[in-house]
Amino acid sequence: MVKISDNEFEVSPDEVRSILDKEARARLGVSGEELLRSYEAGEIRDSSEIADLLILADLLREPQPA
Amino acid sequence: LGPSLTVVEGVRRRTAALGGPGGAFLKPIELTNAHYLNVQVSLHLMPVDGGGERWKVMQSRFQYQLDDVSASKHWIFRYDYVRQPASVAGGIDAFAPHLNVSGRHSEIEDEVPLNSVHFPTRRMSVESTIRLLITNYNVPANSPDATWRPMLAEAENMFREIAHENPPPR
Repeated sequence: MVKISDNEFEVSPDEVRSILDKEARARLGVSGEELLRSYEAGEIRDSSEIADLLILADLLREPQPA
Repeated sequence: LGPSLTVVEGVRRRTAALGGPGGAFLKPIELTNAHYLNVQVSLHLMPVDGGGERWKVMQSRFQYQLDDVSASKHWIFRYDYVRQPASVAGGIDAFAPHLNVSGRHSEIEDEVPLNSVHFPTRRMSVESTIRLLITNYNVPANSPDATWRPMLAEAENMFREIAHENPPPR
């Protein structure tokens, strides 16, 4: 992570994946990769306990037109 | 310490996320009553009608909680918003914008646990969440009413002018 200013930081995609993997394993016992696959496949019926992780995962997605 | 913005290198800096202080995305923000507001917002730089680009909120969570753990078991209420639920989860109702309240139904808790109920909402601003905390949860403001009230109102008006609203779930 690179500090740009007191409240702005830059991270690499690998750093994001590492955080996701650590949290997914701690909370759900699955890898970050498996969590994202389940989400993209529509297999997660309720994101209440992991919404923060799914938001973080948006950093890895290319913006798509609405 | 307030929230911080994290941007991702490499993808032409077109994705960003607002999270906890010091770049700690999952770290809740400590409030003046020693409780916490857990804020996460993802942003994508997207084209807009008429040309140009604008940062748009893709997902957001505002969660009021008693401890400083992102996966808190001691949350009071939380709001979740997903901009494009159909693209990521089949459009199921659970991904429509909603509010969860921690507690128990007095008469039907066994049938419908209150914690699991997703009360449908429209877009909820972080300004309205802050106002709720000050006026209903008695979180002390760090400035006088004459300062924070107009500031929140002005910022929330700007949000309402451009806020995207999801269609109803199908």
